[in-house]
Amino acid sequence: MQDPVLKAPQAAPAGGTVQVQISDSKVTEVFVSGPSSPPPLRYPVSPNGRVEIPVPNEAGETLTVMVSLDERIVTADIDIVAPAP
Amino acid sequence: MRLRPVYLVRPREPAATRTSRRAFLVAGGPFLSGLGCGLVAAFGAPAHAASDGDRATPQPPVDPRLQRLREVCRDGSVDELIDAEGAILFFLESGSPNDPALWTGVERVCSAVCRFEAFPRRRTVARRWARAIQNAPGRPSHATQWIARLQEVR
Repeated sequence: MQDPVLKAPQAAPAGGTVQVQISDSKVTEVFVSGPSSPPPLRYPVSPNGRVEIPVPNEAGETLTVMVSLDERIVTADIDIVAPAP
Repeated sequence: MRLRPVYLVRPREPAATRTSRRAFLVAGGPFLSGLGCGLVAAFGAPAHAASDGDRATPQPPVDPRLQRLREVCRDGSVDELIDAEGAILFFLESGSPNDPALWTGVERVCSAVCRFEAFPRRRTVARRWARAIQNAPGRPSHATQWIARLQEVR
């Protein structure tokens, strides 16, 4: 079950971008762990709470989006899938 | 004959002498106590600081989330580990790659993923941890045994 602070799709096509939504205005950046991590990559949160994350061209891998809140860490996994033909 | 009184006047003690003694006492007291304090500050404080320095090196404050996570990694239930496994990945990859308690948690998570078919999003989590262990610079040598087992999870 996803945390309401972080909304992300369960899968994203390789080589594209994926959009996640942050509903806590105090969050200014998200960390993304992927095939090349560590270290995780950082992406800024836009004023409307959206974050655009490029998806590596590695179908079968996973991206993990991580948000650091005062009290806890919230994460969401996104499976990287082969793009539709 | 007329007698005339002769007044023999003793010269007055100069008032300044008494004043200077009083002034010395008034001004000297604080001076001496100031000197005392100065000597204590000059020689006593560094000695005290040095003894403190010998006793303990100041440690940076520990993130309370990391503190709680370490407890879950060591003693938490499987359900608590499932909830915490994303946070374990976060701290391992962003600042605590050699933390032994976190690695205990990683191995407990890997064991749970391999044993329990009902583990939420099992295949995704297994793939993620196989990669994370493979790429982790601070992994203990015995953690590598999980890579092949996690890659077999379907």
